[in-house]
Amino acid sequence: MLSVEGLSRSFGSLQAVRDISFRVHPGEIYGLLGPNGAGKTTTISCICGLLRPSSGRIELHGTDLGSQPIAFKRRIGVVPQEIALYGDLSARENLSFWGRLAGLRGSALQRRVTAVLETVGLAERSREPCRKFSGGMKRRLNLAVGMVHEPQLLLLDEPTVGIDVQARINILDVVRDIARRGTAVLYTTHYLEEAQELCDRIGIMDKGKIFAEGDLEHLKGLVGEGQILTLRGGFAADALRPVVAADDTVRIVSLEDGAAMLDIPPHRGEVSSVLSRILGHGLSIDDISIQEPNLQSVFLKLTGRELRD
Amino acid sequence: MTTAWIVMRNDLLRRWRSPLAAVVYLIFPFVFSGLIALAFGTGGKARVPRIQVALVDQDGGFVARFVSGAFAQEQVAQYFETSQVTEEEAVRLIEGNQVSGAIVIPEGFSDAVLEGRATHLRVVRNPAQSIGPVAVEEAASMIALLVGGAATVLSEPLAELRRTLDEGQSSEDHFPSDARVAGIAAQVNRSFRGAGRFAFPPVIRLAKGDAAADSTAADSDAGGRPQFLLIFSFVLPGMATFALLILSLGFMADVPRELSRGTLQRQLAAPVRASGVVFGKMFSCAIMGVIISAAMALVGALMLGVRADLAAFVLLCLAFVLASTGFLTFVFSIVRSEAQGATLASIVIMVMSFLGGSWFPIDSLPPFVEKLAYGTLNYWGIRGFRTLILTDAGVAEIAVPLLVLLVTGVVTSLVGSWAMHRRLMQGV
Repeated sequence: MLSVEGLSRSFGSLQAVRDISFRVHPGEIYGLLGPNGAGKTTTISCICGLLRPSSGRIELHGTDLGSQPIAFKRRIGVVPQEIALYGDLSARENLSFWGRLAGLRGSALQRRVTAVLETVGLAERSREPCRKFSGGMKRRLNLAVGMVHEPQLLLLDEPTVGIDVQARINILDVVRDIARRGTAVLYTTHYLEEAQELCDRIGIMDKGKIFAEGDLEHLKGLVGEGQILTLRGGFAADALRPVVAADDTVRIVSLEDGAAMLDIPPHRGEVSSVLSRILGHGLSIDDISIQEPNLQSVFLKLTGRELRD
Repeated sequence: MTTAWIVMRNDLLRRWRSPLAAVVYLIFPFVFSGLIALAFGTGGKARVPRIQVALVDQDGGFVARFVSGAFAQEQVAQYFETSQVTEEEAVRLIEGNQVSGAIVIPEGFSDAVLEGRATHLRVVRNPAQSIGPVAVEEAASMIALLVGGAATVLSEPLAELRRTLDEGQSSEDHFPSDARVAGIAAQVNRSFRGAGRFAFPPVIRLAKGDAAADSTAADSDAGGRPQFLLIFSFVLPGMATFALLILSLGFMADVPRELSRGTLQRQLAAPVRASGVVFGKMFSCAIMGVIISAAMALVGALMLGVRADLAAFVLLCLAFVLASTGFLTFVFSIVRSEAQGATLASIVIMVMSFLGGSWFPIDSLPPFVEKLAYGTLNYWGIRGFRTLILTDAGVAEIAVPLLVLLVTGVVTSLVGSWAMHRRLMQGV
């Protein structure tokens, strides 16, 4: 189990990660969801030993990163955001190199290289220089490098950035498969759907902090059990607030001039009642949408801003 | 050490897969040295532009014609092209930078020489030129010396000749009698006989040679190597040291390049020590340097006849490669990007190559610049390689450059690897 306790990391006066704690269990996919600059990559860099934490403790199955860095790193695999491969080398040569660095040798290395090439569907093109690969193939090879030595913890930093839907589905399938075999997976993303679809538990991260964590249902529960009514129009926030506040059952998820997100109880007729009241006060509404609570609304409620792709 | 081996093996495999850069490093010194050798050493077949000289004969006498005729002699005519002009025309030619200088033979020159009186030749130099006027001056002084010597040795027959010429102008057929001519010839013969025991055989003989080896022929050395190869061998060490520095630059630039691509971070996230990765990079650079050096030596020996003591050559190569690798490791440990590193390292290498003698012979630079050469890797490398290639030297003869490079290599490698390791551990 990965255990991160009170992790902080600063760059001068900028505090990139602020006292975060979370755990990832074997076979679990834990997602760190947040916008660019939230501190996700810094967190991953600290866990894989590239950055020394300003404070905090990181352990994997009782092995402390600070005191036993080599033993710790032997158990982890890293899939960075950028495609960190050697374009002049073939897929097999790339995997062999990274496998050797991870401690694999001889037939065990060759067996693992062959296995991961098949897992990511590159066995037939394993001898081609990987600079000839498509973006999706490179991403798959990038993923394969992280798992060649069968790590106990796999760190994936936005592994699906900039690839097509087919390649994305393929990568997500591989990640699920790895987790099913008992590997703990820490997965960072700013794609809501991806986190929603893939992760067993999600940590909502912004400005270096984890605001909330849990499974999807738990996080949705933070917003409310009703429907999310989103309004856009020419109204002022101060004008709308007393109108909504008059009804105890309606909660404001977010509110600003021209845009509001309201949590409406799931009672029949409640939405039309709320809308009638607002329009009755002469507030101008141009666009209405009603949806079930999702990570977008959770993120908005927790951080006060929308998470955009 | 295992990590260093794995990283080194991978770096070399990458170069093997994409060998263009390595081939360029190998070919460059030969191409460049060859071009220089072709430009300056074609075995005497090249036509050096002749020096233009204006001759102003204000005398018109016998000796003046002898001076003018001296420039028409085959050996002199190879280097000088003369034109008989008036003094005004000579000044105009100098002002127009059409001649390197003018030699003025003043009126009464022949009479003075024949009568044994002091006289002079006047040389007017073209201030717009540097080498040509010096050559004109040298030629004029050589002629003055010859004419003066001849006038002293042949003073008696010359006086008789003068009298005969004067008398001949007043006679009807302008020709002296056979008896007068025979008398002058006998006097000349006596004068030569008298001077012969001082002049023949010559005590000092001029032997032409070059910086490469003692030689009596201008277009080949004692071993029969043509001028082209001599110049090639002289230039090659400078180009080779420059190429090895550029090679080190290319390899150590891999550090910031890999940082920007994320592959170095990935290596450091593996269960390895950062020092292993740094040493791996340095080893691959050093191995490639040795391979390129060996290839250059092989090509030089087999195709161009360049010879050197093998053990000394290998030691010197290792020392130079160690020094250049360590030095470039240090340079790239203090930069923040590939572009920054390449710019800084290129400037440093160019300056070192200039001061160290890769581009110009050091003794052609001002004395204070020569002292700066001692602080460059190129100087010690060139000194060692040139000694090996151009003489039959062994390890003992190159002990000084070898030691300097070895010590520099050890120190810069230690400092460079420490600085690089420190940089990587500060966070990437």
